[in-house]
Amino acid sequence: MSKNRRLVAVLLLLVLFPVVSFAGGTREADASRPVEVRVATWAGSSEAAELQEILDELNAGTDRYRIVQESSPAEYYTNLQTQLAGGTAADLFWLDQDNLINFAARGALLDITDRVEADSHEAADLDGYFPTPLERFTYEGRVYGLPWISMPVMLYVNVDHIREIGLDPDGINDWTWDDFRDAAIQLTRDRNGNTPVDSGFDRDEIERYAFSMVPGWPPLQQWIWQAGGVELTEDLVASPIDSPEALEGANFIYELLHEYHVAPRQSVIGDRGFDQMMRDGQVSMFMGGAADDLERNDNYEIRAFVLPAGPTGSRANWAWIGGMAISGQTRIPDIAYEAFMDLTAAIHRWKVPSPRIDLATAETIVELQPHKVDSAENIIASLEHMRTPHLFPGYAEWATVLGERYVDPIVRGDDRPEDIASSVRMMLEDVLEDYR
Amino acid sequence: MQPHLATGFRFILVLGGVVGLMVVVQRLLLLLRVRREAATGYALITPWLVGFLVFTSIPMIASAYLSLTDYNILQPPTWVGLENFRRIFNRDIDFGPAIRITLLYAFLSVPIGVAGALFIAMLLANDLKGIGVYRTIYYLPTVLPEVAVALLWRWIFNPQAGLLNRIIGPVFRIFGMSRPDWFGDPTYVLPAFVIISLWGITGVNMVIFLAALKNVPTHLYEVAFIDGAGSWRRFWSITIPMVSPVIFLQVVRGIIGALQIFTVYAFTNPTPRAGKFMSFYIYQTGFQQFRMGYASALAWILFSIILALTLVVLRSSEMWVYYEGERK
Repeated sequence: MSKNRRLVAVLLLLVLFPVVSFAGGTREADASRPVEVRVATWAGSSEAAELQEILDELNAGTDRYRIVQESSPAEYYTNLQTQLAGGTAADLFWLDQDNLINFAARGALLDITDRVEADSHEAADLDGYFPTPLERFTYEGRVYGLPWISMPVMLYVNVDHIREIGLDPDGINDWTWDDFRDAAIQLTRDRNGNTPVDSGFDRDEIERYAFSMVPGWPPLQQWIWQAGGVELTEDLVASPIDSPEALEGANFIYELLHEYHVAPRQSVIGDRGFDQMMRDGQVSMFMGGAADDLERNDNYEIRAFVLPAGPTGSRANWAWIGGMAISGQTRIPDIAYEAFMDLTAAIHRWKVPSPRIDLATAETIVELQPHKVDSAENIIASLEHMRTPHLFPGYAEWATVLGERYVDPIVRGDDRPEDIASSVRMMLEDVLEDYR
Repeated sequence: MQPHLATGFRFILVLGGVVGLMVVVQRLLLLLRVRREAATGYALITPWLVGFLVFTSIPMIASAYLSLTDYNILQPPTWVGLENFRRIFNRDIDFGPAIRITLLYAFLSVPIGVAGALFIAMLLANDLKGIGVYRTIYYLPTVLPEVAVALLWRWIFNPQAGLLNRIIGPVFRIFGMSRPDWFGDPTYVLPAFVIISLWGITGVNMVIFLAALKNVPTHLYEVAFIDGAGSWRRFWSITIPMVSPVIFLQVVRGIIGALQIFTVYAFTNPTPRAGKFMSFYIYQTGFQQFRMGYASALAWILFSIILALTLVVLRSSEMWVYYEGERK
């Protein structure tokens, strides 16, 4: 081969190599083969394995599609954004309530309103859903996805510890804030057995904490709601965190954390593990999602209860809604929708509590998660108290200001809510104005 | 074709493409009558040049453009001119604290880091029995992943059970104070990060200084010793000038690294009341708040600060860096 021919061959290779290497193989519908539908999830290894069983079953039952799971538990949303920006996103992806609106408002999701209205699939019956979770998967009156879990925050309690201080666990569902505070004080013990109201209590050497809280979890909003306040008005114009009701909610937390020291510092929680401290008996009460499996414990009896009632009698809890949506970039919208509906219905029978009224029963919960036998009725009772924040496209920015300027100083610092609420309100309303 | 086979095939194609590109570049340069040695040199650096263009230059140009737009990643950018910069300087409540803590961290950690690395290198420059073992031990921290180091420091700084507070806790108790909450109390966040930066004293910085110290001609010390110079005089008048080019290098690298601190901050999760380091703030704005245009503007401000400080050090180097062989 002459030198020039070799040069031509190399040039040809150079021209062809990007074409060949970046050609992803388009997924044209072919009647003889199922169409590949990609679903992106944040599932960790065990959750992904359970999901794979569901997918295998679905794939085996149809020759229309084959759903392929793409799990990325770390930096899920960063990956998703990058893939959407690069045009390589999966056809379906899991989204939570906070993020659905971000993606829907920015045109990244397929509007499925008309398809759902014309569909007789069991998962397409919108009247069969609890209103709160369904509302979170709509934006400006249009449906952009469907929820597959609707999880209220529960009060997990180490029942052995409660009995130890002479209280009746059966009365926890009737607790008010005062009952909760009294129990928290009695449950917190330093290494000499002193409680926070005893003289000689050593806050640097606490052996058992009553409660655990970090900025962001449990959400401060819960206490504001229970006290009758709001952090963000429905018209998205004001953030009245300095109202007397909202301050009462924030002050309740301030008092628990800084006057009675019933919760460990965030650094301690970060090192020992948020829920692990509860499992190990280092924390007696923990607020977590209804699907948490804290009841699985060989050493302690742990049960989930409804949240204590605030001064208004409200037991409002922060609902975490997880669901699924279809990418606005999908090249196979019809098949993707078909797979989306089948998979959503299948997940409704896997995740508890289901956002569907007919599936959200104590019996279903116990059937799917037998360890929740003593908590199931309380979980169902909490569903009616579920509440979600008013979301808007700038919510992430607004929530950052609330978290960093208000919640962190109260929870991790020792700023009194009334000292900072007014100035933070102005910052929050500045953000609202930008998005108006 | 199985996915892994397809990936393997693409890897081979990429490798073949890179080699082919180098061959083509060399041939073209030879056709243009460039000397064979030079042509081969250019051909060999071609992959790096292409990588730099594709993965650094083009994204930089793109981010410069995006900094002048409102871009949320999911929709096409819309032109806003200098609005992002105007907002950063006039309305951004996080920008001032972020710049403050980032600069303070750099100003504190870089001198301590450079001086510390030089000090350790001087200790390890002694030809003692078994010194190789010590050199290896002091280099070991470099091989640990940054995330593991961050988690280790988080444990050391734990307010209740951490090693540091176990040691200094009694002192605080004497003064009736609680043990410091290093990452929860804004007063202690900056000192905590400066202490963490001491980790950088060992490792690569120390090895570079060690190499520089080994290159200082011993006859200079011998002559100074005969002339009656003490150890401090020899250090100040011989060691420092002779290793000053390396000090210059370490200062520049240190400034760039310190101003871009990210991983340790992200994994230790300190209170934002102390201010967020700029790199983390940029990440938060871009990826968590969907404001990539704004984040790009922040990134360009950080870039400008790094560039300005580097230029200041570069300009000042004429006054304090000595290059052997230069004539004055």
